[in-house]
Amino acid sequence: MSAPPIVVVRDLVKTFAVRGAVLRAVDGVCFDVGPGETLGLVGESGSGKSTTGRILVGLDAATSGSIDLFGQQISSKAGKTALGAVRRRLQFVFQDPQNSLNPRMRARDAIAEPLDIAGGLTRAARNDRVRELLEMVGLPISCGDRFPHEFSGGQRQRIGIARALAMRPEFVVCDEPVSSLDVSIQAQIVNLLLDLQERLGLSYLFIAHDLAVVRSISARVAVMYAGRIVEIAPKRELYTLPRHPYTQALLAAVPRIRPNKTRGAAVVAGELPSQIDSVAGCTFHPRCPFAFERCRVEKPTLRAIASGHLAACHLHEPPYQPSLAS
Amino acid sequence: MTDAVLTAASTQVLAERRRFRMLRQLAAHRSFRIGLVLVTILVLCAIIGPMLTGIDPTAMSIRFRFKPPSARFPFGTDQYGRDILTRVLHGGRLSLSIGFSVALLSGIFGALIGVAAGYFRTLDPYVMRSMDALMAFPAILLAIGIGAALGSQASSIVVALAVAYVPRTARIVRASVLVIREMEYLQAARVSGAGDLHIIVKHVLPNSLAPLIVQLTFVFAYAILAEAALSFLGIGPPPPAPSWGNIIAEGRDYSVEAWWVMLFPGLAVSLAALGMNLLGDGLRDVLDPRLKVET
Amino acid sequence: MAEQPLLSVENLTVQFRADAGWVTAIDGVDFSVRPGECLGIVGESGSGKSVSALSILRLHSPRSTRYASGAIHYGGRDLLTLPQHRLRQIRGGEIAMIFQDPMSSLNPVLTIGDQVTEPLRQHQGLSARAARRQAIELLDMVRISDASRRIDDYAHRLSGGMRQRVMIAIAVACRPKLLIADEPTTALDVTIQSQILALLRDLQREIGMSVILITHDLGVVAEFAQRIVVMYAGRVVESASVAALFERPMHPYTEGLIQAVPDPDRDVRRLATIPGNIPDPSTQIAGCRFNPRCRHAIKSCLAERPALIDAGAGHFARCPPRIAMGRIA
Repeated sequence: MSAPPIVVVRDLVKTFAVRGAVLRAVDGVCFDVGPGETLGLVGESGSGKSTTGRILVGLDAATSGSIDLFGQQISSKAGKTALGAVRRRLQFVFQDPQNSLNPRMRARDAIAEPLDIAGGLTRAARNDRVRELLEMVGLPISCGDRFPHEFSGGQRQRIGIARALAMRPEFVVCDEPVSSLDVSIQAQIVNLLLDLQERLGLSYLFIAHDLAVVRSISARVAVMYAGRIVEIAPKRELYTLPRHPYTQALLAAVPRIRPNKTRGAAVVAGELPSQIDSVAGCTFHPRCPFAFERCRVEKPTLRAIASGHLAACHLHEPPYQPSLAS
Repeated sequence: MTDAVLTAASTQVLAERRRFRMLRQLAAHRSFRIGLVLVTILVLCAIIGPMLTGIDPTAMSIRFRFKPPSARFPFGTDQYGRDILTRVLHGGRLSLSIGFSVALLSGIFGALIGVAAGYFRTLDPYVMRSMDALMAFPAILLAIGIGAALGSQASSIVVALAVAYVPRTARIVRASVLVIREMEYLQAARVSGAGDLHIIVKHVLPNSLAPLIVQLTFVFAYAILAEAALSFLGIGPPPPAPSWGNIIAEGRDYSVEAWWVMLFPGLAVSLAALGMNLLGDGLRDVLDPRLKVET
Repeated sequence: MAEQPLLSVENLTVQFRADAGWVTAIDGVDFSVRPGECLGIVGESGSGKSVSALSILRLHSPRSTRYASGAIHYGGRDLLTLPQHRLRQIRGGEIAMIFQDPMSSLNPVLTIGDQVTEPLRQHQGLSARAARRQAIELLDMVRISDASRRIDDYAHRLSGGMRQRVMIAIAVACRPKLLIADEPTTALDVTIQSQILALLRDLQREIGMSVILITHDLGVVAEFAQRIVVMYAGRVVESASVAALFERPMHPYTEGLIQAVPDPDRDVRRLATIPGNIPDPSTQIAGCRFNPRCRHAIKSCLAERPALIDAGAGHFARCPPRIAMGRIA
């Protein structure tokens, strides 16, 4: 990476107290995102990917760990994440087009809300910006007067994206932005996000459970399981040469139209255990076809196994120094 | 830009159909129509009525005591010869405005308390337990207690009934707030740096109003009935100023000989409460179809 | 050699009551499934795929639904006109159904055992003990570990994947001839999805039942079904064997849909899209309902409702211009 990363996350941990037990939703996550880059964050339910995204924008507070945004340390004081001046440079796109817009607000007011909260714009300037944003996301200006229930899911998602772009952020966390949309509409929104990235130089953290969609938009992809990143690599390498057994299983499980002759036929058994804490060693070992003795006792750490390609698995002895330098 | 063009066409179609859907649904709802008509008639009578009859509601006339309903006195006269029709019309003003004021007050305070409890979770247990304590008292008893302490005027009834009904409205608002605070549009505002006040005013309150308004129509109805009951018991607007309740109270001793004295204000109270209930049913069915009772 | 279909839906039109009259949810839908076959019904929202499935067992609310035309032939009878008591015998006994949301499909106040034994006691008249024994076998069959203990668990103790397995156990309890699966894996994680689909495949072979699988996921039907029916905006637009559909899709919508699905094994610069939006069921569109979004629409597409045309070898498509082109080429 030539330019310094704009997002640096180290040892991020988020725990919840659930019925007496402690749930480690995010358990020591580390990654970087560079300017103009998209990092895909993939995982199934319970992986902690959404929680990670929410912590980055201040919707949840981290329990411990460090977050560096645009070169500034973000403090997590007493359970509240203080973003300070950095807040304007990040934004969030939500998953559910139903709930992400206030049903009583017109589209133009919803889009302009970040501007209104920040203040300082004349009415004319505000309206101009709203028009500009509507055009940017491919919606006709007349849509501004309408209420959310008058739009389809894809259109509402466009409004949500317009709202996210109102303050000209540089980094946008997209939390499953197309999962609730029909396939033909998904493609439109993914293309829109790609176009906007080119046009505005945005960086994305693209969180999703759909591996195929993640591939279409990301430059690098991180795979999460039970709160930890188990593998992170440039897109092509992750998809053609996955190293971690979970990544392999995930890729094998995706139902395909065009049969992939290289993937294994094995269906991974079992499920994510409800009591993650009770699993000693590698959290994936109960389901892993390659588990051996060491996996049952020692938790693997994320290690570089090739340039830019890291995996947390005892199968891969580290040829490089055990650090994140890539 | 094919996407955008096609988008415009389809939003046009969607919009035309749904824009006035709620109003249309309300207009089609039978209960709502009946309720609206009843309430409108009563309110109009209360506002204009007294001016039409021109008779002083307190004017006594020994000559015309206990006259049954006739052309001259459509509702008859009471033991002081006062025209019941005029008294009912004037009483309507007082009773309906009491009902309205109680609904308004309990709505405002219920909203404040409900938002405080639902949005600021740390306050929730304290606030709601106090509401539970209030609800433990039967509304009428509570109203009697407060009314007795404050003295016999219309305003003390309003305060007493508002206090009695606030737990109900607060509970409704709190329930809405608990649902809304999980909505993503609220979180979107937070990501953009919105403070609690902005979020409460712009997002929480507007979306909690619908169930509250439905509840307020019912509170209005309860208040009118309660005012009648309280006046009947001797607490409330003192005579000679008429309210539906005290007309009924005064007619109590003559219920056999002069049945019309109790009947007509009683009918007025029933119709007002019924009308508001039907109105509320209609609003509830249209605004929150999940609560609808299949008929 | 054409085998007699097990179930055949013919020209089915279903309408729902809305504020201003009746809205047509599905319009003249035809499809059939042979014994032991798996039919996939694919479509996006508003396509009418779920409506079609629910119609088979007449699960729509009778007060607000109208079957404006068509018939559903099963066992020599028309299911749409069957009297209630006969229909109830068929439901759960010969034709079973599983649904999408595992979290709400099981009764939270009954144990798993209560719910699995219910169809056994109702349709086969088994005693409580015999039913319980069979229920444990069924839970084993759907690969729930420790079945003899789990049978007394309540639904909330189970994960989504396990609940779906219980649903499947309930559905196959009486060895139905046909299983209708309405988006059975949509709400599940992809690794669990592949487990459930593998289970369904094995059960299908073991019991010899037919399956109608309804889904929006083309990958799922590609791997699971033998024949596919594609629905759009309430109509069947294409129907073919899996191989034929993906090799040579004839309807522009099918083609567009296949291209729009992102491929986990390939890099593309931009995804192929279908412009525009899916029409609301109450929207009136003259002619072919896909024409506002179709790159190949010609004048006749806007005028008359296109017929479903046989392009040979069991491949049907509702696009006369395309088929004509295909025949010339």
